[in-house]
Amino acid sequence: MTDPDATPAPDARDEAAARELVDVLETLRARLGALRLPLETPGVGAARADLHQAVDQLDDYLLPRLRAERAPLLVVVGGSTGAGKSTLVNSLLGEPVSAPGVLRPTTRAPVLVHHPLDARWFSTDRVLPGLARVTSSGDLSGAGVGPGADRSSAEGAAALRLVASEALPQGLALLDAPDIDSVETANRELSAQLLGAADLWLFVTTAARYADAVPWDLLAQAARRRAQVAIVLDRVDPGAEVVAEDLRRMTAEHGLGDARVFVLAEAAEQGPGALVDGLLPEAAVAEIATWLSGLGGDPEARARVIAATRDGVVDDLVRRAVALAETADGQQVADARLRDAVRRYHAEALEQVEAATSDGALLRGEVLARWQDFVGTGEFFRSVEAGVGRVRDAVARFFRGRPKEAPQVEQAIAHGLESVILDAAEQAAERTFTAWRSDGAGAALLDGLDLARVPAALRTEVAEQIRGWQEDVLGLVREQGASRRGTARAVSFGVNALGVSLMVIVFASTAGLTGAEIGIAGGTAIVAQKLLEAVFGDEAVRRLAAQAKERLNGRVDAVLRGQAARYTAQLDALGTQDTGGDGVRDAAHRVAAAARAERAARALPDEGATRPWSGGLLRGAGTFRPPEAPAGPGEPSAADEAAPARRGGWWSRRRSRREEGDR
Amino acid sequence: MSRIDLADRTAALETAVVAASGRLDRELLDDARAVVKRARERGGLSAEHTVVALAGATGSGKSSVLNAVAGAEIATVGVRRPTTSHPVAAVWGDGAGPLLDWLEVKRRQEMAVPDDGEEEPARPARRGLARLRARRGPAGISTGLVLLDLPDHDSVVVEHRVRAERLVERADLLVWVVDPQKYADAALHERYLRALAGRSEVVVVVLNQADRLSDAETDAMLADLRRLVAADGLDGARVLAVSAVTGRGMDQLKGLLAGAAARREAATARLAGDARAAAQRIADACGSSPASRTGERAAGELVDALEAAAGVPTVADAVAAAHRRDAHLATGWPVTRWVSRLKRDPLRRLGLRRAPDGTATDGSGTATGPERPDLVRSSLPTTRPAVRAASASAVRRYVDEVTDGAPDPWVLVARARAQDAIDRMPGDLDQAVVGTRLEAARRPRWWAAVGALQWLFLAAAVVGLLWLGAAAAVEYFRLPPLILPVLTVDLTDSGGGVLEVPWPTLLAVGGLLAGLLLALVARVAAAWGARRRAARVRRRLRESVSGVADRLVRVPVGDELAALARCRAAAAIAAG
Repeated sequence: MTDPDATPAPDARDEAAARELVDVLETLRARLGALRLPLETPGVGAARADLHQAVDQLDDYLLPRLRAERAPLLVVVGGSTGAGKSTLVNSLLGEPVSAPGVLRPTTRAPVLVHHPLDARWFSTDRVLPGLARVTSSGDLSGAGVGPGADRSSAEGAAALRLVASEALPQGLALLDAPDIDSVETANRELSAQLLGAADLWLFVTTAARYADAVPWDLLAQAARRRAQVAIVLDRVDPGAEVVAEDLRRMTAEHGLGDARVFVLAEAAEQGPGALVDGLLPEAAVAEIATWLSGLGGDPEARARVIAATRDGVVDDLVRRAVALAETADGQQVADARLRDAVRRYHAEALEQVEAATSDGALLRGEVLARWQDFVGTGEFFRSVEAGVGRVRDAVARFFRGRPKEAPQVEQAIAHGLESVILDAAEQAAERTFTAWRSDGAGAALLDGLDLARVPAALRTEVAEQIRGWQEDVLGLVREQGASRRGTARAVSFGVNALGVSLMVIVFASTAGLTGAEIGIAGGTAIVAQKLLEAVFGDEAVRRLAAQAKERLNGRVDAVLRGQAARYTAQLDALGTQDTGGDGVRDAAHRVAAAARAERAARALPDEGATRPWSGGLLRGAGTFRPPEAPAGPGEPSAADEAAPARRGGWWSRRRSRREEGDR
Repeated sequence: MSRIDLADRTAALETAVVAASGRLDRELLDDARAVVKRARERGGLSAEHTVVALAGATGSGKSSVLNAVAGAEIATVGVRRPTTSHPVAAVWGDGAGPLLDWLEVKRRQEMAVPDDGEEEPARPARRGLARLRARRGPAGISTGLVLLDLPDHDSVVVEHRVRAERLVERADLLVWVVDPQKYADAALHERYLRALAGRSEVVVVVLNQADRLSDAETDAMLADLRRLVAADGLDGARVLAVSAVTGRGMDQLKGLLAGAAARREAATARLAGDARAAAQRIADACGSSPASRTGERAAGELVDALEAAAGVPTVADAVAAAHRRDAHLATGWPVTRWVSRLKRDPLRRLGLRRAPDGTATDGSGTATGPERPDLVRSSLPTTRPAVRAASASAVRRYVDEVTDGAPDPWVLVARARAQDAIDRMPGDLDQAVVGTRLEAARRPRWWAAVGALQWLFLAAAVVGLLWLGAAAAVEYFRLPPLILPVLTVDLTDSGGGVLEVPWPTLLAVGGLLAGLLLALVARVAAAWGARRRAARVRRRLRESVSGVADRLVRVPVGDELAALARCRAAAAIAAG
């Protein structure tokens, strides 16, 4: 902690620091609100819950508390089902505001009890904006508000019942929360949210329950964020006082050593310890009442509790936000990984098609047979010397004789191409599916086996593209034929024959080259090559072949891109591509810096602002004088003094200075 | 519905697990395996004893209930939580030693022995005594009962939870002890009771500490508890209110335990329940849609597509064309025969007949097919992308069709196996085509005869022509004429005159005409032969391709489907 003497803390500066903190917290809230964690990366479930809690923390507690420093101290009474929370609240107030019952879980709608003058703090959406408000007068008179009525009203959205009561000191509010471990999931979530909004936890447990796992998980969380906690050990049977010792040992073990522990005896059947009208005897609650009234009534003590919890929450929030930023980074990485798989496998598919359509691979088999049918009588033809003129003449004679053969070659080419493209797309789909399936984030997006296969409509699409390409090729030939050099000859051969020849050359070429390599396909393409060169000249043939190949690749690429989009659309819909954690991380660092500045600049609570004592005391308050430390209204108890002393030198130094001044 | 016995049920479950292993979710199968193992282990141990576990939350009074049932201070009752860290067993009846070892319960109390210290497991010396005193057991519990006090399931100490869960799994009858404060805890209902859904006969829920409530409150709470238990899927589970302090309801509980111990059915019921639940989950995972009936049709389509991919029609056409060409070379009119040689041999074009490179010729009619087809794969182009692609698509279509309706994991396994087939398919298809007897070398005997006849006719024509030529030359040079024998055909009998044809003329004209006619007839016969041969070859090729399809695709995929059927059937039996 910074030494306050070194940095004078004028009020203006103090307020500026606080405002700055609110500003950066609001930025953080906005960024957390915009943060989406849709991908199933490892640990994302916890992160989502964390995000939810962080937002709740900001909305329900931190922002309201910072915007309104003087709002009443909110004490949330939480604990296990059947621990007697409602009975305790009723006993503290001296009137039944919350309905206890034997059937579990009892309290379904949380009840917030406040002083009538404090109503403005709670009736708006300042705290717990997600809960609807139900106002009712202090008394809970019989009909309609029994356990049964509670049960039915809990079906709707969660609501917060506001009760104004003169029995509370001004500046203190009690919230009776639902069970933390009930079989009703909604209750558990609500109570976790309510505990997040507390300035002080009054944690109620019982002699039978104090070693339950669920409450201790919550308490450990509270210890982590340094929330102020007091524990009430309820329903202690006579003779079981050793339990209190054990409980104190456990609190110390869980890092809650400075938490106050109050012990309440189990209500007796008869006599002075019995319940009166469902209320615990006054003497039993005196200690708690005294302590709480003291906190509520003394602004300084209250501010201390509030500041301690608030600082803890800010630190916890920063830690959470940084962790969330990392998760968000993880999401982005997972997104990139999934996209990369899609891209890689579809690029491989494109390569596969390219490999199949070059080097004459596709010309083998049926296409070859048709082509040879087309160009004539094999060996004889090949034995003829390849002089251009003679070949041309022979071919020309042949074509003129049987011009209708060309479509068969075209068809054979189309069949071969279609199979190759479909297979490549199928393979890409299968590989991408496998890659996604083995990735946790991807597996959650797959939803069945649809994405493992190409859609049925792809065959039609591919066929269309191939027809389109063949038309392209014919168009190229026609265009070239129309140009000055080749017209007459082109006409004499027929566009179809030339187009087919060009296709054959495309499939025979290697990486766009034509020429020597053409021999690879068993001399298949030589005839085509010679023919086209004779018609258009070799320069033009080379250019035409390159163009035709380019168009084919373009069309195949378009088909595969369409297929890849089926996968990336899933990711696009989630919008995880640009969700990095940088924004959140940046905001978290700024919050941390602002919080440091604010703590350094924090002044003592303004003593002039102490309001006159208004409102009543809690039932039994002031009647309790513990032998070891006198604690009454306005006087902080021993435990309270101990807490700030541990928190750092600043407070104690400040206090001791003040005390010296007093002397 | 007839109930099958536990052994059969376990065996069926194991069959289902074996059939599903590698296909279904590992976790599910591990659970089922654990059930099988547990059933086997429990089956090998004392059937005379019923293991009853008292489970519950901290402080609900499990130990008090145990003490109350046993009528002795066996388990320590404390106010500090958690109290019981190791399970304690109260044993009625002998021979439970191995059973308790299996349960890993070290602290045992043989109920005949009144002292309360911790007992070491095996004390044979006292067994006899124990039997004598067994009658001293409380309220009808005479023998055959092991009552366990479990550690808390909701304690802060994790080891306690682990120990408790182990025993919850292995106990025969579970008595959940709850109390008025905790009976609605989420941990109890969500983690434990819901996991036992459907096995209500092995679950008893006991509401302890009823002495803290009025009668009306007890009734209301029991009703609420019943509602919660029913919501957990344990409709029909027994729910009792007891008080270990006042003894209320204890007799009912004891009677229940004694009854369970006497019937000795709890162990079987529990294990059968577990096996049924595990089998039901497997059955659910296997899906219920019927196996696809498209098998035969899909197989036909697969072979059709593979035939097309392997180019069987092309090969068959080539065989027919080659037959015609060969026939013409052998039986055509010798004067024009050579023209056929200018046409390329269609079989050689497909690499199915060797080129005339000296080892074999097709022109002379002695072309030989490959003698060892398995060695000559190189005679076909090795990679044909179109074949690969078409066969891959066909295999995928087939697998999709026959696995339609199977559960997803199964479909994926079948596809993975088909992937292997896709990789090997082009090579094997080519091999199948090459390895099929195409009868490339087959030459019908009549070709030779007709060929010889053709030469004979040609020779006759030549002789005739030469003779006529010689006669003409003799006449031109005014030499004495050659003797021209005349064939006289006397047709007077049939009303005609006498036809005289000189032999040379007859030879020349007859030879030419007969040759041409014979060539025509032979061509027709060759065309007919070619068709038949093509059909034969086609049939053989189809058989080869079908063999490849069976070996690479139908058998592996069929294996998967058979495993699915086995798994479904076995799971249905085990869940029945």
